[in-house]
Order: sequence, then C-alpha cells, then structure tokens
Amino acid sequence: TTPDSIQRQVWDGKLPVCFVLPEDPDVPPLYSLVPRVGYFPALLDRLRAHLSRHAGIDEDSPGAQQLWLRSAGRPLRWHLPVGLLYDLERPKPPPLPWEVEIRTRDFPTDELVSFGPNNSLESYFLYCLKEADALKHRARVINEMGEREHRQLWQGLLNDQFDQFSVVNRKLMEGEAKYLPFRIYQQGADGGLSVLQCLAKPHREDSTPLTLSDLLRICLPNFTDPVTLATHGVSLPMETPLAWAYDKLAYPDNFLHLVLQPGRCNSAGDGESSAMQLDSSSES
Amino acid sequence: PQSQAAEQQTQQQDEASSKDSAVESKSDEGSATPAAKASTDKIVILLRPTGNAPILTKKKWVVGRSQRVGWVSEFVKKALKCQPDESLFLYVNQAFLPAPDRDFGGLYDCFGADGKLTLHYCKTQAWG
Repeated sequence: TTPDSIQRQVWDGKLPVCFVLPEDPDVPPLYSLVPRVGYFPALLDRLRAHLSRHAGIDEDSPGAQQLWLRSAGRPLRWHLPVGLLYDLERPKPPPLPWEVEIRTRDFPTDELVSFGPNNSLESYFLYCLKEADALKHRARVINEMGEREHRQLWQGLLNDQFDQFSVVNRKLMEGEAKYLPFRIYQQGADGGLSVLQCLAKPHREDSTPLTLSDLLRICLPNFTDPVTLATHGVSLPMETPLAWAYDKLAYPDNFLHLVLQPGRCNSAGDGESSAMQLDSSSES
Repeated sequence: PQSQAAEQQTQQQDEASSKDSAVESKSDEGSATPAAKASTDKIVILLRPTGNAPILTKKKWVVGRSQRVGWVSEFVKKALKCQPDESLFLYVNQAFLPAPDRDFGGLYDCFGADGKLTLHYCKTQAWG
C-alpha cells in the first residue's frame, strides 16, 4: 500500500446516477457514473445535449440555460461535491442508481448558486481552495502558485486526472497547518441544511492529536446525544485524529466535509454507498 | 438623514451587544462551557468597497449568526441600487467568495475578531 492509496481510493469513488426529466416521461433517462469528488454543474453541457436530442429543448433556450437538479423533492445544492450531496441523504440513502430529476422551470434562486459566465464553477472551486489555505497557511501556498497551477488543479478534477491534480495539490496539503479546514453538515427534517465551521488546530494543548470527538466538543459544546460523522459514505470512529482524517479524506476542494447524523457509529460495515474500505493501519 | 439614523442605531446595537457579551463572558468565568465567541449572537459586518465599487453610506451592518451571505448580498445590492442582472461579490479576507448559503456565524468564528467581520464588495470579480 502506497501512502497515496487512500487518497486515490477516495478520488476514484463513483456514484451511479440516473437523470430523469419528470415533465416529459418519454425522454429516456441518462445514466452516468459520476465521481463522488466532482460537481454536478460540470455535467450541465451533457445534460443540455441530452435534452436537446430527446426532449427538443434547445441548448440555448431559457429552460436549458436555467436547468437545475432535484432529489427527494429538494433542490440539490450543486456547489457542494456530489459525494457529499449523496451522504446528506443519510441515514436513508436513495437506492442506486441515484435518481436525480432535471428541472427546467422555477430555478430556486434563494437556495441554489446560479453558475454562469460571470460566476463559474471553476472560480468557486478556487475560492474553496483559497479559504482552506487561508486557514492552513495564511493563504501563503495558494498565493505563491501561478495561474497555471490553479488551472491544473481544476483541469485535473474536471478530467478525472488524479496525477495531474495531486502533483499540485500535494503542495497545498504539505507543511504544518495552523487550522484544519473542515465543515460539519446537518440536514434538517424541514429540508434546511445547517453548516458548522470553526477553528480547529491539529493538536490539543498537550500536543496529542485532536480527535473527531474533540472536534464535536468544540463545535457543539452543548451537544450530548450520540452522533456519527460520515464522509465518502463511511462512518468514522470518533477517536480518529482530525489531522489523519483531513490528510486522507479531504475532498479536492481541501475541505474535510463531514455529515452529522444521530446515533452511534457502528463502525464495521455501513459503507452501503461506497466500495471503499478505509483502514488507517494499512498506511506505510 | 435616514442613513445617519440607521448608522446611529447600528452603533447603539453595537454597544448594546458588546455590553451583553461582556456580561455573558463574565458569567461564564470559571465554567468550561461555551466560548465567549459563541455566546455573541450578533456580528457587526464592515463593508468596504474595492475595485470600482460605489461607496455605501451605511458601512456597518449588524447581522445574526444564522444570517446567510446571500441575504446580505441582496440587501447590499438594493442599497447600491444595482440592476437585477448585475452581480455583487462579497469577499472575505480580500481573498475568497463565500457561497451564498454560508452563515455569518461560521465565517466570523474563522475569519472575524472582536465582534466584527470585514467584507470587501465589488461588482466584478476582484480577486481570483
């Protein structure tokens, strides 16, 4: 096992997705294996081409330009990575292939980021990297990179080229981090999503590693119910050091995205949505 | 005159909230529970123009921790009399744009200090 193998497995995680157009049942569904670490808006051109071919919706028409996605009656917050969106459907993840509805009307402006020429997914992704590096290295590493390297990160992700991506990303992940970039998400029953983010150092004051249960105490000091934190379809043991989880399991945007759900983690096998097995002892 | 009144009100709120937090942190003394930061439920945001952005008469805004970036952005757009098709970008740390669904509590905890969070605004992307 090479040191990179967990990052590689995380990168290779895919979800089978079935895109349907409910407003026109005659349109055949579009099946796609979507990278968990990728973003839905990266598929917009393919979806538009599909609608143009099978539903007679012209690619430049307002419907095609304003299309958005929905799952379980809720708009998919597509500025978040695909795998995180699927994990947010826990504890009852939709059966696979994941049925995602294409909508061509009533874009939910209040809830969704509208990506366009003025506000591209690429620049949004870069802002995530900048925020993460601001937390880790006071933005020193990302600012020392040239535009060519920024593009290489994005192109590597977009074209599923792990080596191209990681050769640059390694620079961002190296070195002592002041704070570790993470977010904890909780899906409310009403469809609202609460996001927790605060400053967390890799170590406790006695310089032992800070664990996920320490992190919960920092973020939710008044929270006593048993909870589980999951990422990439895997529930993490609460004694996992945050720095280890960050190093191995951060998404390409350089954030560790954790989904909070009630109930204790039954650690062994609830990788229902992921073929990946995580084993911290396999690290060389 | 209206904006002056608003400014005054903001300052009063500002003072009131800092008073509140002082009281709260005092009562927290000696106990291991909530950090003083988490007990302030109001955050002052300071809006600074960048690039060729017009200047706002009201620079100081008080928002709740659960208030979203998108909501403030719409407010600022109205204050600047932006056209509906115009964009407004709110930057943190003069470096990145937070997503519109981010709340100010999390942003303040990571990038704010002394009850304040500075945001730079412009109509075209300034950094990135």
